[in-house]
Amino acid sequence: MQQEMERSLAKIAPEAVGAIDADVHPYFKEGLHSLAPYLSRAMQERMGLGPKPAYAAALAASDFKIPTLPYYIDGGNTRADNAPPAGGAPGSDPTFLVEDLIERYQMGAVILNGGNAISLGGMPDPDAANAIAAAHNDWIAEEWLAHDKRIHGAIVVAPRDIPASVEEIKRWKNHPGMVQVLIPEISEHAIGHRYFWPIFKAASENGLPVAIHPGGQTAGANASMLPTLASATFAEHWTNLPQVGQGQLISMLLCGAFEQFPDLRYVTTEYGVSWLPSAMWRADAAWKAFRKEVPWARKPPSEYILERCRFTTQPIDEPANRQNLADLFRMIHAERTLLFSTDYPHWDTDLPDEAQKKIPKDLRKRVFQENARAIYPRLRV
Amino acid sequence: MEYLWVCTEQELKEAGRKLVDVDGKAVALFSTVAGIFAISNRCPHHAAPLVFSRVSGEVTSEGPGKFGYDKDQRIIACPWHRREIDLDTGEFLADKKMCVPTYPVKIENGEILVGTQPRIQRQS
Repeated sequence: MQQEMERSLAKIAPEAVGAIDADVHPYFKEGLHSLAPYLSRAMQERMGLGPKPAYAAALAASDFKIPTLPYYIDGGNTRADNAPPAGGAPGSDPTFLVEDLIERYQMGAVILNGGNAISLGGMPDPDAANAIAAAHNDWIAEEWLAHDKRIHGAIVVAPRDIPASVEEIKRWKNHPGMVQVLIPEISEHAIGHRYFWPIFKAASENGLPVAIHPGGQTAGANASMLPTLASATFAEHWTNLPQVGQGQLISMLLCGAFEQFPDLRYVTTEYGVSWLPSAMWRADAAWKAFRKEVPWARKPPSEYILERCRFTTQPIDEPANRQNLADLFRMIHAERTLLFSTDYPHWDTDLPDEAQKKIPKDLRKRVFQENARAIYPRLRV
Repeated sequence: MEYLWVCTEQELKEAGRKLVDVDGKAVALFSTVAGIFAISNRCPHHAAPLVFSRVSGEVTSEGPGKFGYDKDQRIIACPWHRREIDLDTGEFLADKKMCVPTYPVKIENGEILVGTQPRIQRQS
């Protein structure tokens, strides 16, 4: 094990030392029971976190859950080698996360995005969702942000209750470890819809980018957000996810939010980037043709992308010819738009020692560190 | 600058638009409530024939959700890719790199004359 760690340390390029990992997922050790200390007794009762009759243990309805994907994924979507030696699911032990990710790969900081709560948009009951969002954020602050200053958090909101979401952002606005707002997606509205604008206002006024991340596209009350409607398999779902990210991005670019909120920043997390050149060119063409529909958009969508939108690297696509990837990074102006991420502890991770081989040397410092420091001014280390 | 006769004012007003030859150049004439305009018939984007353009104004905005309207009958939308072009200046509303030559127009005794040199020299 020691030998393995030393090998990893030796393989980090100088430009990747001190990397900011913009997408890491913390998981509950004991399901929703991990949030019990942060939930009212009423909510614990509402969610069935107390004793339950043995006869119902195998029945689905006896187990209250945050809605999630309807697929079986080996290892619950995680890596066996990330399982903490002390027990629990991968991503559930802050001490081990520091050792296994931050120190092993000589990172400067990591940002925790949601974990179990990432699909909270699929929960139809706003009161339960609000309680989970708030408890989740308390749990992040108490058990993760207080553990190590290199660990940062995203304020998770319950998107079916916008006023409560705004209050939740305000509750955390002065916490030094919270660096962005994660909006679990809902299928009723594209992310640029004015429904979400109070969140944009609260976030941008407090130096917090807003981020989206896959997870809720078919969960619970959400109708399928994928263009193929309900995907039959996880392979189909995973392959098509970038199309959701593209749709959400286009919504943001044309809705006028970037004009309404001058400090608004938007992070597309884990939706890939290979589609981005097409999206940029096509959005610019649409704006030039149909500008009168969105006359508040004062510049081509691609300019808003360069100024206000960022994208995380993982999962990096793997063309047979690596030069194709380098060309892609030029097309998307990766020196400004791209943020390194691992998606630890998930199966499709990109760790720094492998990711650095795919990122041209002259872009590495920007992608691994500088772009993140620019978009996340609240990073505390 | 030399001006060449292209058609009668009556003829253009009845048709609303007309493709004419000005010293070997294809020029689209438009007669609207805002005046008479002469613009190169070739869209610099994909070479569409601008004489088929829809004539309108410019939708403006002071911010999201707010709509205004200006330059009525002074804007055309290219028939192919809908690029909006200012008939006065030839400038594209949504692409400042693009510009179409426009030509000065004179009306003398009901006859329309078009200058042989474009009003805007910059051409994309």
